[in-house]
Amino acid sequence: MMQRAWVMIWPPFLLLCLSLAAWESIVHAFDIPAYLVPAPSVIAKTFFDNSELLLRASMWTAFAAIGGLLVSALVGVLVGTIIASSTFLYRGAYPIATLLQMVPLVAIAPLLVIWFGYGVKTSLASAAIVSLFPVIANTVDGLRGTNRQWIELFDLYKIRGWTRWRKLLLPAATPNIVTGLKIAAGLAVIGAIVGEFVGGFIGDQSPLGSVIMSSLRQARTDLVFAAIGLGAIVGFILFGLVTVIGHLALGRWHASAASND
Amino acid sequence: MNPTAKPLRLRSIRKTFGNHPVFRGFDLDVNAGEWFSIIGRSGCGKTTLIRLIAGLETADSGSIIGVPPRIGMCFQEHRLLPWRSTLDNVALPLELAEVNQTERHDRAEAMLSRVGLQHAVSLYPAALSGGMLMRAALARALVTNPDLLLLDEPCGALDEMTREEMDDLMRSLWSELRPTTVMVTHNLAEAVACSERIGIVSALHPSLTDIISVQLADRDSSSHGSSAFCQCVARVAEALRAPVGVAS
Repeated sequence: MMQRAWVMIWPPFLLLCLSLAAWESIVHAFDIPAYLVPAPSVIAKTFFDNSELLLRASMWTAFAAIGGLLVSALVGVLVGTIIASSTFLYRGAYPIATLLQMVPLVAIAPLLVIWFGYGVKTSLASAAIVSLFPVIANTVDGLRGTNRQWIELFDLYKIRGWTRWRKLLLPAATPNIVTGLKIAAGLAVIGAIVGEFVGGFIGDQSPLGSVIMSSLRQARTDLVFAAIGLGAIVGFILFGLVTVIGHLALGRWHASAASND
Repeated sequence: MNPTAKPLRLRSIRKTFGNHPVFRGFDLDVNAGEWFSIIGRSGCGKTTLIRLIAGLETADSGSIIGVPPRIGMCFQEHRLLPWRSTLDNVALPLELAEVNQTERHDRAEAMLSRVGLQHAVSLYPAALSGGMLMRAALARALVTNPDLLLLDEPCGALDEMTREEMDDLMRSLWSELRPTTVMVTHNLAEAVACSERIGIVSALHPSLTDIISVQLADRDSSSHGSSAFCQCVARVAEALRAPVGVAS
């Protein structure tokens, strides 16, 4: 078990170390000023000097991203179920749902500030909007792709409606929904930070997006990089969380969870 | 005999897929508690017939009389749900009929013991062999103690030895429970081993061209080499090869 974990961890870890070493060398070799591209050692020092601010900001961003992901999971599965329930709705509503993906979030983020005000509600709504479509699309695909043979089994027992959805369609669509949630997890963090760019605020509750914007105004590129790095870590943790939940749901029966190679 | 098993009657069944007529006035009589097998070449409409009886297809016209509410069916594929354990798969029909959990697990475990899968209750379908999957599917079909059992080439994907074991098992369970049973197959030995009567369906003009009564003292796989068994298989083969319209 430990050996398998080590085999999974060491290639990306080694690659990351090599990339950071190369970055550090290039910055020093070409004498690149810190306000343009700070060296990883400078970013690390900045992180430790401002760890309280950055970790608190990460918590707020993580809160908005997780909240947004939960909203998109619930709404996405519900809307996906409604769309998949009839051919008319599939043909009519699916293209409209696709529009969600096309709307540039940066353009509608100011509207979210008008509707939800400054603070975490705006970034949560932003995270939910960005992460909604993958959940809808994968739920629809999963429900409509349910094995015909299993559907016939339920036809034989004359089981329809809620019971069929609960005992057949939802479990059959779970691998697709988990895939949608994995995509949505990364998007939720991006959505939260974009929401924070326009709707975040400075102070004790300032999230990563606000830290990035205020650091940019002060030409603190090192702080911007540290915040970006933490944003990536939040996204990675959220993705890992969804992967673990997916593994718990599918591990005993689905190939996607049985093999991690 | 199962006291609630009823005879099954099909009258003037017509069924067309697009421009291709499958049945043009098909009649069938199956006695209560009888095992009736339908045998014919590929494409003669055997599976369509059993799907019509199961309600999975609708006939263009004609009537099907005597289909009870409790039907058990074994398909060509096992159709076990991969996210359910063997026990939960077998208990599924009882769960859908809202039988309480304790009772349905007791009944499913008892049925799994009867098909020799008592050691596999907690395994998932991915961990079962082909023969075990079909035995689990048979257990699921019988767990409700159905009045009508429909078998659509349930052993079609199994090797010869496993198929013979399955035939013995199906026959022994049928002798205990006695549901009215309709099986479609293209395997002559299987039809002879399991059935009271065998209906021959012609591919050219889908209708019953012959009905053969099977009266054998021993039917289990050890007797498949007996002369009586072989003669019966030969009779069925001859009927299958006979021109349309010849009945014995």
